[in-house]
Amino acid sequence: MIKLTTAEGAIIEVEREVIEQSGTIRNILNDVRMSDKPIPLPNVSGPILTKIIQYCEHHKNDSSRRQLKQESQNIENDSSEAAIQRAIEKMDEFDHNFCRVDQGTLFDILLAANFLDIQPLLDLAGYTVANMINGKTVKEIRDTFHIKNDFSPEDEERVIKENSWCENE
Amino acid sequence: MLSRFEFTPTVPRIQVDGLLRDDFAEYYVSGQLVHVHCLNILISVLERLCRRWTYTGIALNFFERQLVPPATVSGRQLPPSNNNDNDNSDNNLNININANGAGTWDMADNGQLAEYADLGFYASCPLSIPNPRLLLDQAEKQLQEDICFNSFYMAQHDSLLFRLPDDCLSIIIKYLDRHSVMTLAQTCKQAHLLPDIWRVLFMLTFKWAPSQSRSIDWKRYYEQCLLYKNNFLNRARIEENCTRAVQVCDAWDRELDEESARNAKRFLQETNYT
Repeated sequence: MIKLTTAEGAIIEVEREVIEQSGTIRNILNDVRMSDKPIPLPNVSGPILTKIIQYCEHHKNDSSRRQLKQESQNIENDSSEAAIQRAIEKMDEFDHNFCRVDQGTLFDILLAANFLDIQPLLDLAGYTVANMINGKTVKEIRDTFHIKNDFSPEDEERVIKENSWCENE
Repeated sequence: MLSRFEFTPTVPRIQVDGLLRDDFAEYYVSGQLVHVHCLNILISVLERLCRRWTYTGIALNFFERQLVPPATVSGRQLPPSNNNDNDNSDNNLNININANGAGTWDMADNGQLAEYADLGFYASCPLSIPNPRLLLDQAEKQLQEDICFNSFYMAQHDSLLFRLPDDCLSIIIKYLDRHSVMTLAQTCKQAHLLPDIWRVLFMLTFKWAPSQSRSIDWKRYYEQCLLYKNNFLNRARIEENCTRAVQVCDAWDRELDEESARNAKRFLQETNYT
């Protein structure tokens, strides 16, 4: 078992096989070899770490995790709809339910997945946030994410004009 | 035919190289009605098809037949031509190389028809996309923007989305569709200056990039490549129309009749065109 220390200082134990889905933890474990000392995770709160462990436990037996990670890296270099579609199809019902949380929790999961280097979870959270943006108007996006319009009227007009130029490509 | 060669000294004078044989026609064709790039494309098509040609012959083919522009360009409706001197549809050349045959359409400052100007055919360009390395000096400019970026970063402190690091925002952006990427870029200054916005837009548009480096000024690179793409489309369209026009006309090296030749000569003398 591996011990992890949360941001609040609580210690959570988790199976090595489960948490090794995190690239960050895997590297630490490889560096320190066997150690009973808890690994500090100052950027991850207890509730979020619990959620992430849930995710890792659900996916611990996935035979295609390595492949998934590879595909995700491919998307980084290939924004084609087909490549993204393939990655989305790999997400199961658990994944979709997993991200039905409030906005704050979702962003915390995203940040933690980024810190812990769990690429499939990072993609899942990113995809969920993207779905909250896709198809919305500028005002709706601002309202959803509490974005302040800091454009001057002239700047805003220029940006809209610029975008219309891109739309006409 | 003479009515088509009634000139006025107010015709703008344009410097054209190599005026020996066909001064009048070249002046009239390249300076007045035909976009110089379209003319060059037509000439290249004539050369490729081994057709004899003169500027006069080109001018006569344009002026003796009504040239009807295609109904749409890139899905947009074009204004109708008012050049209805000749209603014989068999004589109509469905080309737009000289789309404003009667000079009724507004021309942009660069000589491009206003309707086509936004397609980006502003200047001749090499037939390849630019090398992104040429834009690396723009990374310096980007740094300047980043400094500004930090100053208004705090403006979005209430937004959880824009408190995310760039890495996380990149993950989100790559799952957006093209329209949503641009909509997001309109929400605030921070979104507008996200470098990945333009990189993703580039990938969504071109499906491939010679580099994924973030040191490229993706916005500028995207703009340039889009312009090149539009030039390609425009050039292909014009070339297709020119090829069709070359087949329709029997001869491209006809001479002016005597009266028109006299008028042309007098015109050139009066305007001191040498």
